[in-house]
Amino acid sequence: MSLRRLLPVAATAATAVVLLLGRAVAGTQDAAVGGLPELVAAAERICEVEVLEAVSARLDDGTIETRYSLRTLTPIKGVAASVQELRMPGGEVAGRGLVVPGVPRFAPGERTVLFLTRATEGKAWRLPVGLERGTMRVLPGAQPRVLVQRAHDAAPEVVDRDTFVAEVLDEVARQRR
Amino acid sequence: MTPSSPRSSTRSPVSGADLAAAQADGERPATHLLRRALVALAALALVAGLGAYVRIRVDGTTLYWQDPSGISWRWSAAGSDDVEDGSDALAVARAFASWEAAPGSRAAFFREVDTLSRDWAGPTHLVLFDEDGSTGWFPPSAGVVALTPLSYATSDGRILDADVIFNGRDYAFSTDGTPGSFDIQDVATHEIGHLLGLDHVPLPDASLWPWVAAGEWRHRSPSSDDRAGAAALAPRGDPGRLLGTVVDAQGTAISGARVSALSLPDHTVAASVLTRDDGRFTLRGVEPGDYLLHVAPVGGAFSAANLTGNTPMRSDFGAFFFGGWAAPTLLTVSNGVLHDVGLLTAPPQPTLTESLATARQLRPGESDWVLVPVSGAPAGTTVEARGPWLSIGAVQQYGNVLRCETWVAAGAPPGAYDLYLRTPAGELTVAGGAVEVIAPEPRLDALQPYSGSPNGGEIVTLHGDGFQPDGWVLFGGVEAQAVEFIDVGTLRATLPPAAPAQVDVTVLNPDGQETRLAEAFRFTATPTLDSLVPVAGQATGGSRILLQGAWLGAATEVLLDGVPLAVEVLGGQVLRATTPAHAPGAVTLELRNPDSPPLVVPDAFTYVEAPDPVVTRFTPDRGSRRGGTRVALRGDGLGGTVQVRFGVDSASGTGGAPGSELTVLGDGEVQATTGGVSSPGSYGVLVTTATGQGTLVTGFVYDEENRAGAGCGGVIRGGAPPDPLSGLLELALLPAAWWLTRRRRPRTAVAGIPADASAATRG
Repeated sequence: MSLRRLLPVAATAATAVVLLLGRAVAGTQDAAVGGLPELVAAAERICEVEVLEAVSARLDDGTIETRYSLRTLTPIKGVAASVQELRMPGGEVAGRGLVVPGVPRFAPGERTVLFLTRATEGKAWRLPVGLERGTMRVLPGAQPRVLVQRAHDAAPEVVDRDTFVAEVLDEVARQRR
Repeated sequence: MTPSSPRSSTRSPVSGADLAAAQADGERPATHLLRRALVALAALALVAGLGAYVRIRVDGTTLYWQDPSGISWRWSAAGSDDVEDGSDALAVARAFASWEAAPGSRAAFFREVDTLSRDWAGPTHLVLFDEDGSTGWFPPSAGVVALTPLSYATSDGRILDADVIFNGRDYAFSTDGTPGSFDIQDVATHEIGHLLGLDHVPLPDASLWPWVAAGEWRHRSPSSDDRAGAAALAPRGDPGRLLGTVVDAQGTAISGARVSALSLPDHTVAASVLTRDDGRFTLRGVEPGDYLLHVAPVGGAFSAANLTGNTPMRSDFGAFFFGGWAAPTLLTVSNGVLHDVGLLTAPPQPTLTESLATARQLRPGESDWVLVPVSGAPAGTTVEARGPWLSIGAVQQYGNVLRCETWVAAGAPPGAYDLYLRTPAGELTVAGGAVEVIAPEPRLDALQPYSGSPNGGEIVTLHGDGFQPDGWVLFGGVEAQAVEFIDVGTLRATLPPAAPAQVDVTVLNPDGQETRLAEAFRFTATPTLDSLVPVAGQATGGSRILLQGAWLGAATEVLLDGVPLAVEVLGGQVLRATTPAHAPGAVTLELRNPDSPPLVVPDAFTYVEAPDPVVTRFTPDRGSRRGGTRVALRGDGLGGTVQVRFGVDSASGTGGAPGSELTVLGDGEVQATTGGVSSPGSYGVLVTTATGQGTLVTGFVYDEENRAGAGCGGVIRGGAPPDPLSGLLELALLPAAWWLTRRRRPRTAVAGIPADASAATRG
């Protein structure tokens, strides 16, 4: 591997991915994923958000990103767990579109619990850890529920939203200890 | 396969770890599994089920290539930092080729010249490894192994650009199954599916299954479902199509239902497709033949979130065969024919649901327990297979797992096979693709011949078993120029050009299996000798000799009478060596390359009593390229000079032409007149004595204009020079220029180069 890989930051990231996400069934075609503890450990920020707006923009290098304006409903993990904007690759601008199979998209009004990576340098893109695995959609209704997939090889389950958020908060607290 | 209405549960589903543990636990899986809860009842849009090629759709627009038969791609030559032998590019090329081989598809790729560019944002369809995160596509800890960004025209979905980017920063990659690494061909095959315009599919057997494990190789080539997808987006000719509409008992369209065609008589899953929002489906890409059709919900670990377009997927209905379980309707697909099966009405959601997430791999002739996670299975639930190849024995239920003994008959064709769960009430659930039959493991036993030329081009026959058509053969990591499939036990490969070495031979089957025979082939490179200058030297040793030929390099050993010489590589297949002391007389020259027969030249070199001639200076040191310059060479031991050769190649001592009007003025001086050369420049001068000894001096310059007399030449001498790196090559040589030009050997191993230097010099 290149010398840059030996840089502490990169090494830390690689170690986190390999050790935290890559055990047992080591990964996914598009994303390596583990259970909830691994998701919590790998995510820099975790928060329940509501998508307010999605605006696509073309960058100088020709790529297209979508900037989601978010309202943080529940900050769960991170120095600034209240996320106002999330930039992700993909979108449509001026007759041209960019799509990345596996990268989730959100619609205004959608509510979700996001397990987000650190931002990339330059583009400031963040992705949900494990792509769809780090995207727990909140199902609308009087009693909010969350669609939770606890492992890549397990069927998703519908969990009471409050119960799930409490579970994630407990895991965050446990890992802090 | 089961239905699944929205289900609510805080219990954890049965996980892969549970299944593995249950498998390992053998007799008591229930104990283990019961600690886990019931399989969670459904989630909106998900559920067990498998299969179904899916084309990428964005907001209702399907992406497509305007000309899928001419998609270019370019390899970013830096490749993977983890692979040093170039096999990374070959693995990617094989992945492209495996998609091209899809029957019924005209999708084709051509590889442009490799590039050093990493500009994935440009119009080139680049395949590259991001080793430092500089592309910006891989945020830290994202867990993304590779991805394929696709640019498209929003007006019609036409794909404008696509690149495949591997996350080399966070993951190790390999082509040889290195533990803990991801297989490049396996990952590339998946990403190329995206590049073609295919989305993830809910079939573990398929390359486009969203997840991969380190060391996984099964998806090195597309599955039948993937191939059907390739045929659907780039059909060759006018293939047949199956279409219809799936509705529930109320007549409401069911979206996201999986409609599968089972190939007869094998009952393998040939292709599947998901119904659209209006419940309609069109199944393309199946080859002409007879099929059964069944419809089932999609589920398990796969959900709408795995699809680019977030396509809605209903799961609140039951599985069924078109025509019924007992006597399903046989459908014959022919080219150019459209079969509309009309409205297919799904039964209500059954009580039994399954959440299969992995396929059990078995080879023909094998048997094992297959585990199917279920919930709501009533007593008396049976597990069945259809067709001639799979048979089910005992079925045991341990909590939320049905464990069924499964045999695969010898001769069963590779592919995905469903298991069918039926309750006493007759409800059907499909464990889609629960068994993946994989071909027998290949085995390479021997090669004939087991050695060949590094030039390549020779035909080698490989003997073994389990070979498949359209496979590849690697000689030391270099792909054979061509591979001909004779039968499962025999391949014929055309050798590639390669460096001389003993190499491993690898056979790669298109299904991803491979076999390697260590050090099975030897690229033999017996050196050839075109010239030896001089052909004689002083018995005290220290004479410098120059050897020119083919397959001469750093690994070449030079021996005189069995004694190794210190060798220096001058480039251009020229070696320079220094002789040891030896009694007078002719000796054998031997040239050896590793793993190759040596070249033995009897009496190639002669030791003589007389000291080597030495030239210490010459004047003038330049002259007209047209010749005619009178040159005086001074030194020692020049009394026996029989030839002064001008215009000689300074490195090898070859070429040039004898000077005229040779005058020997005693041991200390000799004079001769230059001949012409074709190009101006600096050349060597070779002095040869009657014994065959000689000395090569360098630095005589031929000018366009006659500037003869301007200066004099530098130090030259025979024997061991005081400074071997001097600008003026000082070689004590026995020049045998005549011998070089008149006794040039063909570029094959030769034995016996006569060393009659005197005669040669005179000639």
